[in-house]
Amino acid sequence: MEGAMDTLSLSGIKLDPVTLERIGRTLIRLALCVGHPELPDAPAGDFEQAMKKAAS
Amino acid sequence: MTVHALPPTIAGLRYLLANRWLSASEALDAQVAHLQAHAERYRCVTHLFGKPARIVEGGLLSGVGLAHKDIFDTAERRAGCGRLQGRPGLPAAGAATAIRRLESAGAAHLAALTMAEYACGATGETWPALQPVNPLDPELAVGGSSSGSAVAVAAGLCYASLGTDTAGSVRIPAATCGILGLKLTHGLVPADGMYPLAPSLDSLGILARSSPDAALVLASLGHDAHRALRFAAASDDGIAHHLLTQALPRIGSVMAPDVLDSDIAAALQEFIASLGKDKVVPLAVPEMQEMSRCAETLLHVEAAHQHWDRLRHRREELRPGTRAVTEPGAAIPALWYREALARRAAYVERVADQWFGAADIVLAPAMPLPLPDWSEVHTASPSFNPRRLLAMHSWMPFVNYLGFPSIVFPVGVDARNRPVSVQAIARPHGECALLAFAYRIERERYGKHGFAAPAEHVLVQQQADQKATYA
Repeated sequence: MEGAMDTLSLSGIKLDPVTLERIGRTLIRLALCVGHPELPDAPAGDFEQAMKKAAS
Repeated sequence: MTVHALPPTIAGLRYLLANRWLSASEALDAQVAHLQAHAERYRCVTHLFGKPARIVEGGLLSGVGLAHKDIFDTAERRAGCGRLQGRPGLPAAGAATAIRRLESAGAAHLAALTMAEYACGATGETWPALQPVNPLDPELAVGGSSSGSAVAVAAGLCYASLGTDTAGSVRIPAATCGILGLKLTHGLVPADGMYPLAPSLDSLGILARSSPDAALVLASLGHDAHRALRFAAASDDGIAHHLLTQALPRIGSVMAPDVLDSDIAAALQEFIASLGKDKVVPLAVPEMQEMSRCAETLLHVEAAHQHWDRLRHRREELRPGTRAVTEPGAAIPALWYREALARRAAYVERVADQWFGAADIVLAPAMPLPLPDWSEVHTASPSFNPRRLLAMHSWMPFVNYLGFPSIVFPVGVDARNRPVSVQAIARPHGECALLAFAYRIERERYGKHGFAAPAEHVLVQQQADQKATYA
């Protein structure tokens, strides 16, 4: 929900918390019906490399 | 028949075993009986394994009883993951690597310990029958999700415990029970057999009352980065000596007094002042809020992925805390998830550059507010205060996002005489530096029995009266 609030406030749309929560629940309900359970592909990760560099 | 108390630390127990004043079998009998006698009082045990059929002699942890968060598969039982009825059946691939390594070192896995369901929760809130009791004060909340681990260690029901930390789940419970909690470097120990919450953030952790005890467990987990520690551990007092002979670290601090409760700020400032005037370099966490948001995004999406079938078809089976972590992940756009992953390496490089050029260890708050009562952070309580609950983990997830090791341990008390803990963070594989630092503080402030004396002492009966007294 915090992420959703950010997006909406960035767009200049003001919504009360109750409406926001209803939107959030709707999104979740729809996502669970039509969403894809696989995690999206991440870009080639250089996290491990950064960790190795930070360790040294 | 003579009755003695077992020493409060593993080092003390190893001394008795090495001098043959006690056998590993006698020590384990006493620890099992003790755990059985007190498990109900603290509600921290979900399954008792008891004394192992085969006792490994000569290992670093021979004769030492440990109990772990119920998130690890064992050869004979699937992890219960904080479910009321556990998860029936045998694990597909045997025991978790972490458990196997400790058992190879001679440790006895005495019990599986309570936890927030599926590791979702900054407190140990769960079904009443499984909700652990804080040995410091029954009114005081127990942090989660490795809640049973913190309670069992603080109560003295075991010497140390493995937990898991995805967004503070080792460090928060340790802080609420006044003991040490060490989150290991992400990926230090293979995660197989450890039920995942969010694999890109999940880390193994160790809860203990004393730094050398945690170091012995770390040495037994067998990563090459800690070969020197393992070598030192071979002799009785080798671990303590190894920790004390580490070079004094350069210390930095990212304390932000303006976001801390005045009591907490005063205790932490006193601690920093005690380290020496001008010895602590002021640093900052670059974009902490952004890193925390990225961690949150990874947590929600991966947790939703992990529990997708349950969310779609059996949502009512999940506790509210589990739903609060998993459900938002179903609706978070894939783009946000990819972005959170893509930014990670740059943040690691940036923070490492800013911090570790000037310091070996960076101090941060563990919790910005005093430890709460259950009545303030239990979501079913009439006086539930979400701000207090959020504060419990506000300084935690960015460390998981970076993948760095981190330790919390008590350094003072607040106005209600409850522990105030500090958090210390090091570069990847810097666990030994963290434990060495913690051990210096432990000795200076708490004496030889560790950060906390066990609430209950293990009593052992011996046949021979002439054996040394070591109570």
